[in-house]
Amino acid sequence: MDTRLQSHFLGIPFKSPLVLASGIVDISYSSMLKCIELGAGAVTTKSLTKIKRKGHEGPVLAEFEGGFLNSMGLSNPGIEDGIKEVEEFKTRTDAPVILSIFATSAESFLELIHFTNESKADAVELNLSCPNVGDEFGLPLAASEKAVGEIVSAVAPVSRLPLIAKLSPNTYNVAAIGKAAINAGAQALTLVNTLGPGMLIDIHARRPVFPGKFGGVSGPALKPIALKYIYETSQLLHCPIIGTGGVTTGEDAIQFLMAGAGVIGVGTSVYYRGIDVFTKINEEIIDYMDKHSLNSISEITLAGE
Amino acid sequence: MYKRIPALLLDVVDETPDTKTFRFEGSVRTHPGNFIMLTDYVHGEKPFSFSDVGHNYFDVTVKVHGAFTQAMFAAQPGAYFYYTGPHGNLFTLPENKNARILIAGGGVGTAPMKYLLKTLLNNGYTSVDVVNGARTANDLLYSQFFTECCNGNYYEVTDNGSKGEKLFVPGKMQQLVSEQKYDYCYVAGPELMMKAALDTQITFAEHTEYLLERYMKCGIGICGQCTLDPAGIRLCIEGPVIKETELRKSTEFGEYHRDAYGAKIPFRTAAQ
Repeated sequence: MDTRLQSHFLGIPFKSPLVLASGIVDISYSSMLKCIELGAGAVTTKSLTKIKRKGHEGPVLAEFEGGFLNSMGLSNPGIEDGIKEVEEFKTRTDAPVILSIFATSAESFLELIHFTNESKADAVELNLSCPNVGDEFGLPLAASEKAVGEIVSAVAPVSRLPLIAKLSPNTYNVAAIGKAAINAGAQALTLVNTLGPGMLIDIHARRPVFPGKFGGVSGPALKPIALKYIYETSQLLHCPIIGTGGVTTGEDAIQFLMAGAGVIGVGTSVYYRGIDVFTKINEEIIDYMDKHSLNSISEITLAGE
Repeated sequence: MYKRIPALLLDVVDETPDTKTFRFEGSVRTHPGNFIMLTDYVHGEKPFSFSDVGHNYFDVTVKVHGAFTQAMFAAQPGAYFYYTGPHGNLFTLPENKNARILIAGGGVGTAPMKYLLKTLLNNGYTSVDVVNGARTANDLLYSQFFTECCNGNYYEVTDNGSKGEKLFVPGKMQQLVSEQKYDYCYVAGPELMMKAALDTQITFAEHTEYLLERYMKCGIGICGQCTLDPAGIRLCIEGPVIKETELRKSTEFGEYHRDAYGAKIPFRTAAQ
């Protein structure tokens, strides 16, 4: 891979600034490994919970003009099995892996941290913002500065691995919530989780497209919203950010870098452009760097910054 | 755009005590190997191979298993279901119409083989032998169709010998290849049956392909539920048809699969 794509995030070297986002082809070590082989700099696991979850009945995905709705429902094999996939991954590559975990209280997050501390992962992403389990758990934690601050401050002193707080775009104060996370001990933020949830109806069937009715919005519709929150938050906090939300092309990735993301999450575009989307976006970033005589990812900034 | 298409249920045919064929109205551009994801928006969404495709209709043959297939079994002609696809890759058909072809299906794995045979015959392939296996005579699918249509030899085998020979599908395949040479071979059935075929270490044909099944959620390569270790093959995109040479590299095939949770489930339990 072109060495100009090298990035550093939380002091960890990434061969490319592209990160496989949580929830996309990340149940097995082998599919995560494939993303690395195809140009991802790092991968994020499916969000793991203490007890395994089946997730929602299908359909779990539906497309609309601006992207996708998904309602996976946090299906995962549980933290113990999930960590085994990480170990399998790590025996085959030294590429960084971010372990995503989901819980609903400081206490239950702490239980998970005891597992992540023993894992070979490089960082832990706290999923504070899944929009698809509202009927079960109520509002995501990331809806409140107070809740985010409490969770992160309980977990941070115990975690051996750096913590990344994944936040929701569904508030008016993402930057302030990010600040609460950073002040409480998170080293970085993932901005943003899926939007909404939203809803789509099949008018022939006269039914919502998901049995659970609602699903988080990803893809191009999310991009300008993610970009705005990345920009606003990085201006306020100057902290490391994984910018995620609708990145499909090199141009999108460059916009995210310019807005202040350190690295970029790639998810839904695995559908739009194939699993080699990482190779394609890497090449497009390099094309841009060639045209603008840039030698490193860190030079991709807004004019005057 | 990935969109669910309404499909009117035209007819339901009882095949065996636990298996029915559902005929839907609709034109699909598809090939043997492809599958659809089918839903009623209430009981789930599941992948099914085509067992037949014709002018303005397509069939899926379904073994009752969980909530969604139960809902299908309860449905009457006139009901609507909704599908996405066709998804997945295709069986590789020989360039030479006179190629010697062996099709081997076991249980409900025979479903895509019916469509494959029909496609081969419609395209002028001259020599197709078929092995059709099931646990008992009552579980054999499409006996009449294969008997009438197969332009080569048709063999039935059952585990208990209640119809055809008392043999497993891999045993019959082994017997056939010891007598004649095949150029192409296609296999679909329960994974342990296919694993037994692979483990014979016999080259059934120069080109042998297997059709695999895994738990699928999205069908479009996003959820990662159906990947095969160690190469990370997404069966909904790079499969479900896998070449024998590729399958031999799999550490997962015949050993374990991942369930709805994503947890590894061994095919053989300690008791077996």
